[in-house]
Amino acid sequence: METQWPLVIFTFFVCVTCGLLGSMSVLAIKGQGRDLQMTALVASAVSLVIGGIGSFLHLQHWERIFNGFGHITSGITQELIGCVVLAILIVVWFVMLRGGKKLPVGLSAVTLVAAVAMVCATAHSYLMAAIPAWSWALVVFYLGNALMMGPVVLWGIATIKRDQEVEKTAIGMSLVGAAASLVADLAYAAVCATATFANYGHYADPTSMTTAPTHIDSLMDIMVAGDGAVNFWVSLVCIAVVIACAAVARKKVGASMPFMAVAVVAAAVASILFRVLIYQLGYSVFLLY
Amino acid sequence: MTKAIITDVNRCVGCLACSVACKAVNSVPIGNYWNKVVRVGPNPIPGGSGHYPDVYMYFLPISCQHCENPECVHVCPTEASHIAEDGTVQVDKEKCIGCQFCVMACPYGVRYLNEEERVVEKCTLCEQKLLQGELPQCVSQCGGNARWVGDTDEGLDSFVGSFDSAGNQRKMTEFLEPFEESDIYHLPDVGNKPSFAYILRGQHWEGGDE
Amino acid sequence: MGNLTMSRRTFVKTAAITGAAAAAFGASTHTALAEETYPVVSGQDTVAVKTCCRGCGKMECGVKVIVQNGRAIRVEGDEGAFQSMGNCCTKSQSSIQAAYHPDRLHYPMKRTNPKGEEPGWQRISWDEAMQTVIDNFMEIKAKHGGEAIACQVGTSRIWCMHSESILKNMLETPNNVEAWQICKGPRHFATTMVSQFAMSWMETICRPKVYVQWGGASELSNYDDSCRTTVDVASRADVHISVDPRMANMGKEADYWQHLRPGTDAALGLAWTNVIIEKKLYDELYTKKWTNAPFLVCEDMEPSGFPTVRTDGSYWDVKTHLLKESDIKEGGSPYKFLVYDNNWEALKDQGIEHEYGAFTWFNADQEGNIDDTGGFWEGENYDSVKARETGREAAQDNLLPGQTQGWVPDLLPFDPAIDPALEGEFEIALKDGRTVKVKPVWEYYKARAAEYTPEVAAEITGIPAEEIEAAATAYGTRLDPESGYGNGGIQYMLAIEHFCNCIQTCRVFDNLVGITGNLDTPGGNRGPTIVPIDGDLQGFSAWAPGATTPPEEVNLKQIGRDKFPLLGWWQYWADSHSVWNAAITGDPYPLRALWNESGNFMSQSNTTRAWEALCSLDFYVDLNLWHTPQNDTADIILPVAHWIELNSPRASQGASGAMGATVKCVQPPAEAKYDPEIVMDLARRMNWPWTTEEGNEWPDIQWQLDDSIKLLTDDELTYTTWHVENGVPTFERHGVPMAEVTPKYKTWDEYVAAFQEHGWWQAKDVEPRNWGTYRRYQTGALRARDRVWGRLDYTAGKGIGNWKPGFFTPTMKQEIWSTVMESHHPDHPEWFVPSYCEPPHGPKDGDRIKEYPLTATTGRRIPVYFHSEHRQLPWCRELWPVPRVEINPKTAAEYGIEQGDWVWIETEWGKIREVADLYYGVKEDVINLEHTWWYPEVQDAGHGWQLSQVNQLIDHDAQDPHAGSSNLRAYQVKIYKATPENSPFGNPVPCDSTGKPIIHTSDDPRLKEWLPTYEGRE
Ligand SMILES: Nc1nc2c(c(=O)[nH]1)N[C@H]1C(S)=C(S)[C@@H](COP(=O)(O)OP(=O)(O)OC[C@H]3O[C@@H](n4cnc5c(=O)[nH]c(N)nc54)[C@H](O)[C@@H]3O)O[C@H]1N2
Ligand SMILES: Nc1nc2c(c(=O)[nH]1)N[C@H]1C(S)=C(S)[C@@H](COP(=O)(O)OP(=O)(O)OC[C@H]3O[C@@H](n4cnc5c(=O)[nH]c(N)nc54)[C@H](O)[C@@H]3O)O[C@H]1N2
Ligand code: SF4
Ligand code: SF4
Ligand code: SF4
Ligand code: SF4
Ligand code: SF4
Ligand SMILES: [Mo]
Repeated sequence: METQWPLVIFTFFVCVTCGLLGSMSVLAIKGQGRDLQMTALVASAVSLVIGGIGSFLHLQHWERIFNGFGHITSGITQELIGCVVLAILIVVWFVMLRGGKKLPVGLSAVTLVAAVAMVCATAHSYLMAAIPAWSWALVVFYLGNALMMGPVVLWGIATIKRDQEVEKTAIGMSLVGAAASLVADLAYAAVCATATFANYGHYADPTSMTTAPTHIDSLMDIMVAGDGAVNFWVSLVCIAVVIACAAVARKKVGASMPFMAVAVVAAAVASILFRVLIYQLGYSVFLLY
Repeated sequence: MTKAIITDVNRCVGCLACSVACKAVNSVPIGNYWNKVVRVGPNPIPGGSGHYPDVYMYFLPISCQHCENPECVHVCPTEASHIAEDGTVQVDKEKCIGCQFCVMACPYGVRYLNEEERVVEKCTLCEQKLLQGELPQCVSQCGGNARWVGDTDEGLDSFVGSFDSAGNQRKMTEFLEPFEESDIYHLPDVGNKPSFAYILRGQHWEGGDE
Repeated sequence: MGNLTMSRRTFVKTAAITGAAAAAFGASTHTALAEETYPVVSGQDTVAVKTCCRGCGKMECGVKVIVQNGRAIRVEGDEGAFQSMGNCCTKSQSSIQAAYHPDRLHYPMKRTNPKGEEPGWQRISWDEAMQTVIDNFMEIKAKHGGEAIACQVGTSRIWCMHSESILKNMLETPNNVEAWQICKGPRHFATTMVSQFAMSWMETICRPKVYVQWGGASELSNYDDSCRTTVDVASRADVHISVDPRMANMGKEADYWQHLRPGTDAALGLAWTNVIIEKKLYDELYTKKWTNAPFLVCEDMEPSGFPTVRTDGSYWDVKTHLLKESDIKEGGSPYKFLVYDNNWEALKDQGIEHEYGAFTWFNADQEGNIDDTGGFWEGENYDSVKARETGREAAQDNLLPGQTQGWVPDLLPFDPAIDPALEGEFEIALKDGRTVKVKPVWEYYKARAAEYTPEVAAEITGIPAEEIEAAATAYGTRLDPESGYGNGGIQYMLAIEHFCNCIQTCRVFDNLVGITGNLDTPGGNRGPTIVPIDGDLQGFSAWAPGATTPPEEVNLKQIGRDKFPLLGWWQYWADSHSVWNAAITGDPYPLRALWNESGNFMSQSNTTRAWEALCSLDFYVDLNLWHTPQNDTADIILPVAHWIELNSPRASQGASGAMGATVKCVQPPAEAKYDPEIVMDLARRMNWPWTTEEGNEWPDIQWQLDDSIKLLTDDELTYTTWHVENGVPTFERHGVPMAEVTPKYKTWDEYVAAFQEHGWWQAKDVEPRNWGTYRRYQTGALRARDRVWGRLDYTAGKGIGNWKPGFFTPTMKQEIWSTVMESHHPDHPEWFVPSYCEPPHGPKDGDRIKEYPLTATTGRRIPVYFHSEHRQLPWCRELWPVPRVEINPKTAAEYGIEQGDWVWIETEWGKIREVADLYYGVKEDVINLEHTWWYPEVQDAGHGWQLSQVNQLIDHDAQDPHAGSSNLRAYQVKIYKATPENSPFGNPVPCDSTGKPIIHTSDDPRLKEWLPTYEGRE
């Protein structure tokens, strides 16, 4: 399938938002980083808005968006609802932070759950029986991705805000999150490798005789050595870079800026490339049409 | 009630009349198709010498299969894609926001975004014609008399096709060469339960549920 | 360049200005430049007009054109049309896009740039155009004679076949280039030689029990029969046999697939013949009575014979080794052909004695030069009434409701009960006193067939011997012996005419069909539909009333006659290769001008050579609906009407037996005119009277249409019965003579109204005595037509249309031994009976195979195109954007070619590019190419024919030795993948001269620019 950039952007920022909100909730529960929560909140809000705008670009009749609430089983509707829930939570956080109140553990817990749920909902809207590469493993991937993106962004905010306590926590979380992300990517790849496609042998579509017909024996081949190899390997290497940066930075709290910068870029690159890969793998079970 | 088309693949000769017929009544944009006839094979006959002339082929007219459990409807946020009263799957163009999730969700690739109207469309089973008691154009113009329309709930006997020279409508089960239950196939089903069916006798059906 | 050409859109805008300028052209009101492209839309209703489609011209499919508010909006099948079963193919449905295409020709035009360049067309008035034509023709005629003007015609477009007919008379030229030379012409030629004109047509719609598709795929071509009929017949037949090197679209379902090497059909056909003879599956009575199999060959004598007539009324001499009374007796009749009677002794005992002891004779004096016993055997008892009435209605299964079965007379035995010998060797004394040995023709035929045992044929064709034997046996073994006739005919189709053995190959089938009892029987090969309206190319508007072919002195000048002696006998076409050569070289005389009405130079002979010829002409006028590769070399182009814009009588050209009409549904756009009107206009301007009726020398189209149906009548049509007793014939005439019949419909409009009401008529009902009756060789109906109706038979001279039993061949029998061939090619005894030879540039052509390892076959039909037509119709082009070469996947892998790659295909004569389609249905050493590709989107002169048109690859001089037809299939080529390195502009995709690629994907935006335009209409 062709890469749908609006959706790549949307899901990326959803993971950033949710990862960040999740990380903030963890901080709140830990009682850390009171001062940078507002910045982080703004960052998560901005990310949500960018993601939202991104997804709008994918709609052809965005003026009809309210129709979008029409059908509750649809993934998009659920995403929409999720966005609204997240927006409400952000507002609640905003009010709380503005009021200088202590963030209740309950709110953090709810936010954490909502963030996880939103990631799952997003993943869920791409689960398509028709597309073997878009299986439940997508949930694993997105969760892993949010686990990496949230802490890495938090790390960035902490560095900028020079909050060494949070920086330390964020680096630790980044390490764990990136590792989780790596495992998730590999898990995703492993699940894809089991995908099967309807096989028709030789076939021809009269309307596209100038392109060779598609035959997919194994998605693994595409990932490891085929069209998707660059995206696959580069994104894995990038995650490894994030892990390495975080590992090294653990000893450099207060001076982790360069590592942070590399980690943020590497994490973003890994996230985007892997999403492109997911589109590349987005072959239908039925390849004739 | 589930209206559907059954194609006798042994009778289909890839003449493409159905593809053009669809265009002639449905203003499908040039370069887009509601109905494509794909050639399957020639492939070596299973258990044969593995090469020419031990090969076989057939043609497969593919359009929306008007599934019983349509993925395209499940993913549609606006209910633009819906199951109509007659069991066919339709797109209400007024509601569609063009998100194209249905395009991705359909296993058969039969949906596309109409670039001009910026909504998604596909085979309607010639809704407008069925309403007037007429045949879908790809059925009435089928070169091989291979296509038949009927109601899957009412069974094979309900399927009808073109008219004979005396003005009587042909009934599928009376007209076609005999076939067995086991000669009836569907496109690969991933839970969407395609309503359309294909009859293929004496040959290997490719892409079956492995 | 651009400043001289005008797009149609700008044209419409400037129409007001040019309209004002019309006075400058001296235009009369009649020819004033139209201001609107389309006439005003009228009416506020929707009607479905029953009509006969001419999206191809190969079938007479009944369709309905839906007309809404004066505009045709859709074409659909007409279910009432029994002959086509409601078929409506892609081409027909897309006709709407042709009729309203923005690029259609709307005005006469003249070129302003030199030939070989983009022409720079400029609109002119009809007056100026026609005057230019006449001035140029007259000048060339004065300088070089009428023969310096050639006319050209394409394939079966019915109302534009003037080049085949009347134009030759008008221009006094024998030189006509005809697609017919490569298409069905050879079988019409061969069948005219050995049985009856176009006996090849098979009555598929009567559902043969064994359906043989030989070198054809009518499910796609709809030739002979519609896709629907084909599929229905093939599905329901007890046995379906496909003879095809490729797995064909319906062939995929065949019970037997005779997967032969291209070009080896005659070898396979003779192998079938061998099996049929060896297993005695032939119809002995038919063979003895209605073929010349029992006639005796005397090798040991000078050939002798008699003069017989050809189509222009002149005579030629039959010279044959077949033994005649004149060979054994001084003063004997040259028409009495001797046979040996195995039963002569028994007959003698009964008191019936032959004049020549064991030998008896058949008299073929068909013109009654000696007496009127011609058509009968020595002492025969025969009666026309009995010959027809002893029989029964056919009982074919699976006919459509209401479809007339037809009457099948029983095959009557010999009376008296002679038993002509098919086998053996006999001694007889010639008139010079020598005693010689003679053998029946059958022995020669049998010996020829024996050269192709299944084992030998297996070597040649590549089909295992058992498979050959099995298929032949299945065809030959009667499934229903009760019926008294065979399992059905052989639908031998186009492929067999395309590798330079076409005449002989057609004879293989004609004879095989005959001896198996499938000639003019239900589901057998029956010949062209006979109805009393002028439907086919013999008729409407193609021939002026009373006109014939040009006279002998003109025909004698026909180019190519010296190279192809039989063309002098056949006369219907000039050899296209020789005509193009003459244009280039001036040999044998200058050929300087051309009138082309629906022909296409790419269809036969080497395209590059033909193009050179076209470019070298002094003057060329082209009638067409489009700018085409060919008319890029024209001086004048004249716009013609589309089939939904015109009226024409139509009957099945083949054996489906339908009668109806093409009915005008909408007005032609702008100044486009109906072909016959243009020719009539030419006649008027040339002062060449079309009719002999004073004051009505140049009747309008309405008159011609009325005229075309005037013989359709409720009166009993004239016929003759013969009663013969002991060899003494008497005859009686019945019915109303043609000149006196009362027309059923006074006008064309009445006929059309009846047609709308009734739908298609069945020829079997319209003419029960002729088309409604089988075995017309027995009833006399095969020889029913006289020259007013059936110009393509032996219809000139006298003894014609006499209802005598038998055929129009020189021996009045179906000829296994061809006396026409023998007389014209006395030095080629191997050709006297059907024969096989290798295709000229096939795999056995010396060492060529080393350089050119693959055998190419070409031309299998593309469902959405008619030859070069329809490439600019969006619905067609999007479904088939590029030409394809089918390659076996194993071969492709060897060449590193994948599906979708552009591939170079090359011979020493040219090279082209097509797109690889990996197709396991062709053998590893065979490829299949598509033909007559050009690209309307390319603006260069020739519209890009140079890029992919396949007949560039052929040897201009490789021709059938009899009909002169081209070598279009079964020749060796080499292929390699097109890459940026080996392709112009570094692009494997063919490009125009500016480097712009052709349309090669279905989403190319240029396709949308070709959508219908109604501009100027509202
Ligand atoms: N859509 C469409 N229909 C057409 C036409 C068209 O251009 N387009 N053209 C019309 C015209 S003018 C004609 S004459 C008819 C022709 O139509 P048909 O008589 O049906 O012939 P083709 O389709 O040319 O070829 C039929 C088959 O011959 C096979 N063949 C190739 N080489 C050989 C060989 O050496 N031996 C044998 N036995 N078979 C061989 C091919 O594989 C192919 O399947 O179609 C008519 N109908
Ligand atoms: N390699 C290869 N070559 C082949 C064949 C093959 O199988 N292989 N097949 C051969 C066969 S069977 C045939 S019949 C020939 C076909 O040969 P042609 O009949 O010469 O070819 P077409 O391309 O059909 O060209 C017809 C032209 O007439 C125009 N035309 C259409 N309708 C009308 C009309 O009503 N009036 C006028 N004035 N013009 C009209 C069209 O626009 C087109 O330009 O090709 C032959 N060439
Ligand atoms: S075929 Fe595709 S578009 Fe049609 S109903 Fe099924 S899932 Fe929906
Ligand atoms: S594109 Fe339209 S029909 Fe398809 S899912 Fe979106 S809203 Fe529904
Ligand atoms: S049923 Fe109608 S809309 Fe659907 S493919 Fe056939 S013609 Fe097209
Ligand atoms: S029209 Fe009928 S026979 Fe022709 S391709 Fe379509 S389904 Fe097959
Ligand atoms: S086969 Fe020819 S006559 Fe029949 S519908 Fe098609 S174009 Fe018309
Ligand atoms: Mo032809």
